[in-house]
This record gives sequence, structure tokens and C-alpha cells, in this order.
Amino acid sequence: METAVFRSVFWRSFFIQSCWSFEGRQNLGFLMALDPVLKKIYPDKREYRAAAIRHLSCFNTQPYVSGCVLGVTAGMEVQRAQLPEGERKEFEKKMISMKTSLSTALAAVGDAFFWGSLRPAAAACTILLWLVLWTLRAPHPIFLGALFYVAVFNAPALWVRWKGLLGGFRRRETLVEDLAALCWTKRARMIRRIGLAAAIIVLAASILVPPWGGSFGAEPAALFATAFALRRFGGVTPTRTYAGAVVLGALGAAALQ
Amino acid sequence: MVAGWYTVLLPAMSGWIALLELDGVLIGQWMISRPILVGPLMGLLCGKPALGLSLGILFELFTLDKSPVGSVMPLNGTVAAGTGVLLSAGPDVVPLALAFPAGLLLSAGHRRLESRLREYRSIYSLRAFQDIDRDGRVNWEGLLLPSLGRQVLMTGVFVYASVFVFGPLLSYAWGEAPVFLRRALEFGLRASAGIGLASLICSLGRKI
Repeated sequence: METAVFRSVFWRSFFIQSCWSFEGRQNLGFLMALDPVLKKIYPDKREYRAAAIRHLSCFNTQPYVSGCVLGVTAGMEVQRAQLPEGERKEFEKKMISMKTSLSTALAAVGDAFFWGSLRPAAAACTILLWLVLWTLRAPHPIFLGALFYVAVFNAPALWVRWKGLLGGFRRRETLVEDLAALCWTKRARMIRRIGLAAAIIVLAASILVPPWGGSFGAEPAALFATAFALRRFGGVTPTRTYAGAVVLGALGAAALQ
Repeated sequence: MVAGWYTVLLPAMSGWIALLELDGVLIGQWMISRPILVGPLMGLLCGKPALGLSLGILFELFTLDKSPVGSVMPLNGTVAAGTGVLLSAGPDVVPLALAFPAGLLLSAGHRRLESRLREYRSIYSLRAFQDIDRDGRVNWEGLLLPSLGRQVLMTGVFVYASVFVFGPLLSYAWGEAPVFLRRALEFGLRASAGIGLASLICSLGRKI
């Protein structure tokens, strides 16, 4: 398979959610991304049609790890095309089952890594960077912070997409071993620790210099402690805590009046 | 100035927000649709970068809580930050204490629209089947362009209409609201930084 085909699949993988629906989820996006491979290996319209319908079934995974599933599926489609007619049906079943199980397993890993670790950590580090740049009166602080956020998040995301696609195509079923060697959980933990450290520094700064007014120290510290306890031990969402704070504020202000 | 805002600037900025919102839902997921970027960008465009930055950070902290896993639709941070900043930085100058909850409520409203759009998009799977049956190929442009166009149009109209209607309305309501209510919203805004940071620290401290 030429690099141009992989490049096309990679580019199209950014559109994997473009037709997301409750029924098929990413099915159309997946087929669109895989289309250059299918066109290449099935010049016959009848064969292409069968392959396209195979991949129109419901599909859903984490968008950043979709490259791995696309790579493995593309590799298996190439393998299928080289098989004798009699063995193809059995192989198709194996391919679909592999695609489904891989998409589910990778979605869990990708969600925990990208949404659960990298996204909050990148946000915490960016807020800290803005705080530092603002304090130092550095030129273009907003632009530098925004650039940092985009770069910190997208560097690993793009790497996983591209390497996953190539690795998936070459290693197929054995890709799982390569992915395990990446130690996702360990890396996610490290990212979380960095993010947590940044968030604690931001918190300390916001208590010392309250960003939206209020008295020094006591009020923001008490508000944070209450919100933290509600979130940590009661699972209360930030929007609900905010609504509670407004109600509390109204009662307090009415009582004072 | 006010006429120029409603006829030129607001439609242009609503369009920008709608285009950026594509990143969060349909294309790329490069994170350029996150409120932490949309807030400062809208603030810069409105000439109030500090306001955009503070609202952007607040909305980011509030929307980090839930992830778009499967069919879960978390609060739309792009719409929240976009409308929040436009309401506050526009000619109606809605105070931050009111623009913040307004942004949160509008983003919750947009979730209903998003749900409708997702339901509607089921039609594209059917069209793909028909294309394959008829021509043996899928007309991807014919599926992608309407899907993306519809999303941009609906979100753009939603943002424009929200700011157009709620801008003057909220500004008037703030002036007329009883003092205790204004104090309560100001207290809510002061508390929001702590609430957001508590949510961030909890999500980073959670075991995986």
C-alpha cells in the first residue's frame, strides 16, 4: 500500500465523526476514512459494494485512537482480498469481530488518556502559564498560552492517530502487544500528576489574589473547600454547586436586607 | 455602532463560533473549540481580551467535568464561552455575574438542538446505502457538505438569536432586578472560580 493511501486515510480520519448519528454513530465516518483502501484493493464494483456494506454497521470509538482500528481493518481487508474465495466468509467474521472488540477496548483507553487525563492537565498547565506570563508582563500572553494548549494536546493525539494507522496496518491482530508496551496507564498517571501540581499552584494563587473580587484568603478558600468536598464526596457537578451558591447568596443577601 | 454590531459584527462572530464548534463535534477534535481558546479569541475580537480570558477559563473548568463518551452530550463549551463573551462584551454590556449563568443555560439549550441534529443525521446512512446500490460508490461530498453545513447554520443562528434576544433583555433585567438577586449572582461568580478549580483538581486526582 502506498504512503499516499495512508495519508488519505489519515486525513479522512479527522472527519470520522462528521456524520455522527444515534443509529450508526461513526459508521459513515469510518467507511469514508477507509474508502481509499477499499477502492485500491477492490477495483471491481461488486466487491467494493460488499466491503462498503460490511463497514456500514454501527461503529463507535474514541476519535484519537480511530487510526489504530482503521489500520488493523485496512490490513485485514488486504489480507482478505488475497485469500481464496472459500476462506473469505470466515475471515470476514473474524475481521468484524476484531474491529468491534478493538474499537471498544481502545475507546476505553483513549477516553481515560485523552479526555480524562490529557485534557484537564493541558487546561491546568495553560492556566498556570497564563498566570506566569501575565505576572511577568510577557508580550502576547493570550496567544502564547493558546498555542501551548493546542500543541500540548495535539502532539500526542496526532502521533497516536498516525502511528496507530501505520502500526495497525503492519501488525494487525498483534497491534495489541505494541499498544500495551506504550504503558498508557503509567503515562496517564504522570500527566495527571503534572496537571494536579499546576492546578494546585493556580488554586494557591487564586486564594492569595482572588480573580473575581472578594476578600483575601478566607472567602475563596472556604468556597473552594466546600466545592471540593461536594464534588469529591457527594459527586455534585460544578453547575449544581454553582446553582447552590447562587441560592445561598440570595438567602444571605435577603437576610441582610 | 449598535446597528453595526447586530448587522455585521454579531453575525460574523456567530459564524466564527459555529465554525469553531465543528471541531468539538464533527471535524478534527483539535481542541480549538474548547472554551479556554474560544473565550480569549472572542474577547480579543471584541476588544476585551481579559474578559474573554476569564470567562473562557471559567467555562473550561465547568465543562471539563463530563467527556463526550458514546452518545453522552456534555455542556457545549464553545456555545457557552461564545455567547457568554458576546453578551458581556457587546453593546448591551451584560454583567459578568449574569453573562456566566446565561452562557451555561444557553449551552444546555444548544444540547437539545444538537440532539435533533444527531437524530436527523441518521438519514445519511440511508443515503449512503442508496448511493452504493445505485452507483456502487458513495458520494461523500453529497453527505459531508449538508451534514457540516446544517451544523454550522443551526449553531450560528442559535448563537446569533441568543445574543440578539437575550443581550438587551438581560441588560434590562439586571437594571431592574432586586439587589439581593444581583448580590446572589455576584456571589455565584466569586464562588465559580473555586468551584471550577475543585472540579479540575477532583478530576485530576481521580484514580484510573
